[in-house]
Amino acid sequence: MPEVLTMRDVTRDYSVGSGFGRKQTLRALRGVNLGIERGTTLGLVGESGCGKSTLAKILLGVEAPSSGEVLVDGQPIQSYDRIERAGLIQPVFQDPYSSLNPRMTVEAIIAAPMHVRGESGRKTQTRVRELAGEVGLPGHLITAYPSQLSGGQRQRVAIARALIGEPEILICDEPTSALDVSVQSQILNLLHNLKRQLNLTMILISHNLAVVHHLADEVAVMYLGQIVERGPSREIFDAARHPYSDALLKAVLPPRAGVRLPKMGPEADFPSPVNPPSGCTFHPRCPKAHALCAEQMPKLSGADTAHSYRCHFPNNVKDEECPRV
Amino acid sequence: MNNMTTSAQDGAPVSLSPGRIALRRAFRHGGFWIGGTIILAIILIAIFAPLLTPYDPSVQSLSKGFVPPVWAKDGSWLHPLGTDNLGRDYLARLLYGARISLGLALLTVIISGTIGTAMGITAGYWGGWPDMIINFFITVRLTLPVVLVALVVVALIGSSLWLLILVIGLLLWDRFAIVVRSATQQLAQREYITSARAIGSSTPRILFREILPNITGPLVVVASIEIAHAILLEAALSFLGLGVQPPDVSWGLMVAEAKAQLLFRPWMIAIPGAALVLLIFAINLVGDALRDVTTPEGKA
Repeated sequence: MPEVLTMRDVTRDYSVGSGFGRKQTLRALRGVNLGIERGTTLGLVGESGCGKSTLAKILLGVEAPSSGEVLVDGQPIQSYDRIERAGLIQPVFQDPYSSLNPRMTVEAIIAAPMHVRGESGRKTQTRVRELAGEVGLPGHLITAYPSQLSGGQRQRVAIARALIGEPEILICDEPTSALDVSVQSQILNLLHNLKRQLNLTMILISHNLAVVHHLADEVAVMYLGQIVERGPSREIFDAARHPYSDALLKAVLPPRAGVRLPKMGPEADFPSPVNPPSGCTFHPRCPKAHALCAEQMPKLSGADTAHSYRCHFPNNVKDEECPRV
Repeated sequence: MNNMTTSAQDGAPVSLSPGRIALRRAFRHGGFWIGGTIILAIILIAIFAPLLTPYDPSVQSLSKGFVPPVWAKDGSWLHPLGTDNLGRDYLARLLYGARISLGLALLTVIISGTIGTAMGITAGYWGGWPDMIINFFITVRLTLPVVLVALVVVALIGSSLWLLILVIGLLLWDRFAIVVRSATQQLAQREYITSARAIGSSTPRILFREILPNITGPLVVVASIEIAHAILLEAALSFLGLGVQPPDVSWGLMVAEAKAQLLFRPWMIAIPGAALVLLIFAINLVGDALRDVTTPEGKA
């Protein structure tokens, strides 16, 4: 299947510590390569600060990459104007309390993408009502303001707004983490059904692995601005190669009585992206780190297969197959 | 769903916009009622001044100078507040004076509000070097003593009502700029601004549809403060002889003209002075009420 979205060597630098201090470079993304096939869901996981949201902003065209290129349908993302780009890629954000303009009615919010395109007739009105029904929003709320809605209802509004322009790609940045647990599954099911109906390509950014396990066909694990492992969802969950993926999976709390808190977890703190560790950036926290890890950045193994990873000493791989340099 | 949704007769809920909700809360606020009533009364007086007094405020009648007000020994209802040294009816001057004081303040704030809001939104939305340049202008403006600059300009160019409006308008934008800048900075972090960009909104659309409606709260509060400020500044300039010029009349000018009579006819300075105090007090009451009402109570 053709790739609808491709990222090649994308880096994104921020300049921090302006004012009187010395300017430093924060490298939020370090050479990200990513391809997504049409109609699939990619789960993007990693802890806070690893660059997931920066990646989303670049895909949305809200921020430009410092280097590298992003291709949508084979064309560089910069070659689309803002309205074309909006017709291809749409976001659903984490916090539905901050993603809706409190001064606009639900109707105006959902219709905004059409208004931006200059379409605001009766047809748009009907479409807004249809779509509100499809995302499970009670009809009488169409004239309400966001302050009158619950978190779940707000997120449904955000989803409707994302879908009205019939985009190909939906980027969901932690779409449920600000919601009550009881509402989370409703929203996830809604996303799942819409995705299937509309043949959307979805990027699901989350640190909730259960959510990713549920929805994603493929999973990419990010650490400090890099994708350290990527593969089919089942393989990652059953047989993660990278120790970091492993640590993330073990950190999930199972809701069963008698199970204690997981004892492990990377010991050291998340490293500073301004001043990253040498070699493999995960080595200060890695339980399997050797001297080699501090010296050399591991190459990407299995780049030509479905399951690729960046580690000198991967799990579940026989020693002789290890990509020692 | 909460109590903000009320049911209409057909059972369909009616939604109130955040602006309506704020207005509703304002009408339940005591200060808003008191201040608003006083301001409304003064506005009505200013508009209907010709109907409220038979006298022209600038017609002199030298033989009838210094007629005492009605409560003094020789006073009469012919001139309820007496006349001034030139025989002009004092009540008429007070009523007509409200016109200039209010009109000037309103026009001034429209000018300064437009300048300040434009600067504040630009600085707050783009940040970076536009922010630095605008901050520099704000700082420069804050170092200028307003009264002194206004005096110099008026003294150099000569005094006219329009010049006065322009000068005060060009001087009082600083608070607008500062408040709007910080309000915009906060909003620019909101995800609905990112959303607006992601759906392809043009920059003007983001500024006018997404940001501006959401800073009306602080904007209205600053405007009320600045109206009071402008009225006082006009009064001060008129008192110094460089503001409103005869035969126009403003409350500041009346205070100035009556200062020679301070010891002999104290009411002549007290009446316009009290009118000014009352108006400023009322505006501040309304400003306070608006601040109470627009401050979010955990509502976005």
